[in-house]
Amino acid sequence: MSNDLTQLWDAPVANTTSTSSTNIYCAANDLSVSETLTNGEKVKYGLGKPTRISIVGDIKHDTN
Amino acid sequence: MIQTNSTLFERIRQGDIISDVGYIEYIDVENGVIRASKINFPLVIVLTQDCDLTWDYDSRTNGTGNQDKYLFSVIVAPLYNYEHFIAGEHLSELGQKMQAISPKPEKTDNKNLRNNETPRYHYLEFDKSVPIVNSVIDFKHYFSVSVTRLQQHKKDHYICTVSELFRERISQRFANYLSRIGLPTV
Repeated sequence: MSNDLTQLWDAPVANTTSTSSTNIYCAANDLSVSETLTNGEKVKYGLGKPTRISIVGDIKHDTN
Repeated sequence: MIQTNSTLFERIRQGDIISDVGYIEYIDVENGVIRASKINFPLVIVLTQDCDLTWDYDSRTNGTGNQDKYLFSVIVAPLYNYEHFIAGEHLSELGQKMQAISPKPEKTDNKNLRNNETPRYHYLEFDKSVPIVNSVIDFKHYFSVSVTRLQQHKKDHYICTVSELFRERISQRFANYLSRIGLPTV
């Protein structure tokens, strides 16, 4: 199962005249596999542990 | 053994077990830079009273002329994998070492946990037909989630719902835990 948590996210735009900046991105920390299949058994929920995700990015401003 | 049902209702119900629910630790905005931290919990259970959830849903869908019954958020608590929990490793991905419980079922702390005689925790053992491992709710780790966002999230992340009598016991134990009074040693 994919654990790719990287995603692009456009922040809510602000009514300013600032120049545009980069989109917000998500950087995943401490990914852990949460589901596995062994010997053909049904996928069990609750195999994984809580994980923390840090998000850092520049706010994109709409110049409209 | 706990009883559950897996009928998906549109509204959030007390006892709903939902996967991959996020808790926002903080969001900071400074000098055009946004920083946020989120903890993703593999499983949570809804603890908010079902009557409140019913009123919120009915008000939003039927309209009552005011928003007096609206909730801002829903109280949930995480379910931890029992094996990780007794080893004290269930929050290792967050850098937290937790109190271990004896793995031997005859030991007092383990017996109290599984008999739900430890106020802070609620042990859940599911029927084999339910695809959830044996789990422990930690009442100390409750948090709240936006009711509208959780309702949307539930559509694709609903697992099952704890049956009425069993969920009411969990709710009662949670309320008792929150209202406990710690006395100093004199």
